Amino acid sequence: MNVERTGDRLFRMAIAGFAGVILVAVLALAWQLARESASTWKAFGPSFLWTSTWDPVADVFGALPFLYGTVVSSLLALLIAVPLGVGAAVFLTELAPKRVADLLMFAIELLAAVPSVILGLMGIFILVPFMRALGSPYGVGMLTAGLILSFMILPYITTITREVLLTVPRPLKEAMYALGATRWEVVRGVSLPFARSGIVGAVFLSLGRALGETMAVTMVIGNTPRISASLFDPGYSMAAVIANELAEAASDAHLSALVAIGLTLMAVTIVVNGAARLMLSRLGRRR
Amino acid sequence: MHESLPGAFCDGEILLGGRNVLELDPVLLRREVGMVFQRPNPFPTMSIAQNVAAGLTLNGVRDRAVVAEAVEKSLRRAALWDEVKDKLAAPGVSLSGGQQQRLCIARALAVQPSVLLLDEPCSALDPIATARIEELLLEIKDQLTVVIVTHNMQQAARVSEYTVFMLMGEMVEYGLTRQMFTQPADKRTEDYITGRFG
Repeated sequence: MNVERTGDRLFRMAIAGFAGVILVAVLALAWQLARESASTWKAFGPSFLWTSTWDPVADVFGALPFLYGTVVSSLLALLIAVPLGVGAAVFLTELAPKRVADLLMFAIELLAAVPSVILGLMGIFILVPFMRALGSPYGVGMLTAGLILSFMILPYITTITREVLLTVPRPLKEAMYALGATRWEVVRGVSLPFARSGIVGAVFLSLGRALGETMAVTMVIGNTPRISASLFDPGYSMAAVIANELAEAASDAHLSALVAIGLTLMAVTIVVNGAARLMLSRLGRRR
Repeated sequence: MHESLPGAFCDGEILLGGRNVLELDPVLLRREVGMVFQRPNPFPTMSIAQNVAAGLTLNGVRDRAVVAEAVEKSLRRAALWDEVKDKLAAPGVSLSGGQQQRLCIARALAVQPSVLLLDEPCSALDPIATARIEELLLEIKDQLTVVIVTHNMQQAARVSEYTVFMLMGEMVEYGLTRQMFTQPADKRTEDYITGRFG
């Protein structure tokens, strides 16, 4: 009896320790990023976030073009992937015969498993020539990055939306059918409103992923720290500049500025993920 | 409705106004025939008024005054108006089970069907709520055909004029309620009514 008690206590302490490691890791990461970037914050203050000169040679750094590139390419991806993903999910749950739905779900899961560097290659070999044919001067650029990102988040939006659409209670749909609704009217009047907060959660989770995506974006965004009105023009993203410049950072100031960008990126993704959690927990409470 | 369920089947014909319902367009048919389900199922994202108006909105009625009038009339017919008239904007799911079921009846009545189907509408309700629904059915039966499915024989005897006895998907007997409950023609009907099985 007593032996078991001791075992229980040990076990509890051990798993509490494991769980604690996660928290410690996150805090340590944030602390390290803050410490390494302290000199940048001291030199430029918060204006680091809204100035757009990036000149490692003169040690002048402003993160705005990267912030802009990250946010705009991610929003473009959402703009493309949300209607596609939600539409596909509606098709999968409401219309597709089971065989077709299973096949499509398999394909979607495959798409989710494609490494981002492969998607980047696809971007370079297929999408870039295609964009050039459309009249984009370089082929690489903001819109190209947005398109690649939309491929990456499409599986997330589709699978999560499908999951929430599957939770729509059958009696509700039947009630709408009983009033003489068509299939489209049931989807619009019952299923989508019921699934709304779940879909919003899916969108935010995808946004979090799009914001942090490094490899595919670096390969097709053009890597030019400039804010341009045209989506065909090359840009840059926060994750991409870190990947490109960290290994060859010339000075301590340059290194510190890159870490400051990392800290900013982390803050942005944490905020987005927090919003997603809030949405999902609201969904859970209502059910 | 049964067509959307795997494994369901049907056989024979049901005539509505001289037409076989199985050959009609299901969407049009459902606008003619209202249905109330076993469990109250108001739309959770809609208010009380919106729930009642759902069918009208589907049929393209946009005029607010018309909708408001139809909502009031339907709620009155469903004997719910006095309880909810001050909180029409509250969510439909905030009502009690019996009220929700009457809300669903109001929703079905709002599109002015010629037939109202009720699938065990009281099986999830307590006796008081049940009594209110039965009362309401007796009131509206002058205006439209009411078809109610029930496992409760006393209820069948209380609310109906004609009774059909179904067993394992087969129609065993059909006749005047009074006659069926006093002098059933089929042995199985008699056995069921007298409680020998069931």
